[in-house]
Amino acid sequence: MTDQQHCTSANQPAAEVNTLTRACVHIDAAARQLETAARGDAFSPLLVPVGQLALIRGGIDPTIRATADPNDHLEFIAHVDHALSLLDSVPASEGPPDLLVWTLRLHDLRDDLQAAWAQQP
Amino acid sequence: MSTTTIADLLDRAESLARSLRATDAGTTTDQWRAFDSTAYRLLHELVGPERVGNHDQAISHARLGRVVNDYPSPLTTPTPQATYNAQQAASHLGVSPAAVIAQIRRQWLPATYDGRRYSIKATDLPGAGDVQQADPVSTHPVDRLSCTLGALADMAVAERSRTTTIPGFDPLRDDTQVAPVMARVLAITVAAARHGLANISLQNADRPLAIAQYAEHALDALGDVDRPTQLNSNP
Repeated sequence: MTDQQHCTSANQPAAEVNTLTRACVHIDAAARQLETAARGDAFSPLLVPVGQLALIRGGIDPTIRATADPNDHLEFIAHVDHALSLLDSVPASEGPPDLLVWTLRLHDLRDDLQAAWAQQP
Repeated sequence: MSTTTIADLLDRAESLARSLRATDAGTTTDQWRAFDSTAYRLLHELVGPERVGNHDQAISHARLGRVVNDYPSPLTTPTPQATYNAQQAASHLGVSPAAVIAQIRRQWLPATYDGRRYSIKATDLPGAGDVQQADPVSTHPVDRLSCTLGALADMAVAERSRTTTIPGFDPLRDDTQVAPVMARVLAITVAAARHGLANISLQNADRPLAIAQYAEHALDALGDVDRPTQLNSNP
């Protein structure tokens, strides 16, 4: 990973980072888990939601990425749920004006994520 | 004494739009039409009248004006006092500007001409004003959202007509301040239209679909509006 202005972990204490950053970190952590689960298979159906998660995270803030965290015990869907919860609580003055649309897209993607995961052998 | 601001109403509208995700309450065509017409009225009031005089301001304002003019066949006119140019009237009627000008020249549509553009009274447009407004005591989330956006539109009208007491501070006449608010309204519109699509009868779903497509496209057309604005923050 290169070109990162903010690089943080989903387990970092909440007080140290703002809500929007934490939400993006959870989205990126979910994408990272799915990418790992794809095990390098370029045709894995898991890579589709990985790309969609990356687009959503980039739409919210392209500069935020999650660091690899060996102590991350949350499942990818829990990361998405945390991200949704955090995005819903972002004060208007902190988020981009179209945050509502990105949140809606993440919410729509959640069900697809579970379906893609269920197709895994 | 507490005073409700544009930022307060926007926050409330966003909160209501978020709550739509958690509800599958059916939406009637009238409820959707009330939202649809209120969203258009709010966008129209935020953009305000055309700028004349300063070339740069006129160009910048035209970008926002285009977003409103692209609203697909608005169901109603924002206010009875409103006047439209040929482009806006064409958008209302779902025809080309040339067709509107042809109607004016044949005296089928009343209009005045100031030497540069036609001016058409909103009340002279066919079908103007036949949308019932949202029920203010309804607890349906779409009705509550429509009422909040309606209050926001009324506040924009009141703010615009007020003389500013702070020199240099007149955010509703500053397009860079208005654009982020429009983006938030368009995002709310996307959320409401998606909800409408999922919860309205199929034979009436074409309108929420058209508005969802318009609002997403309009968000892109506004470009980078991720800037702080006085209208988004509480004093």
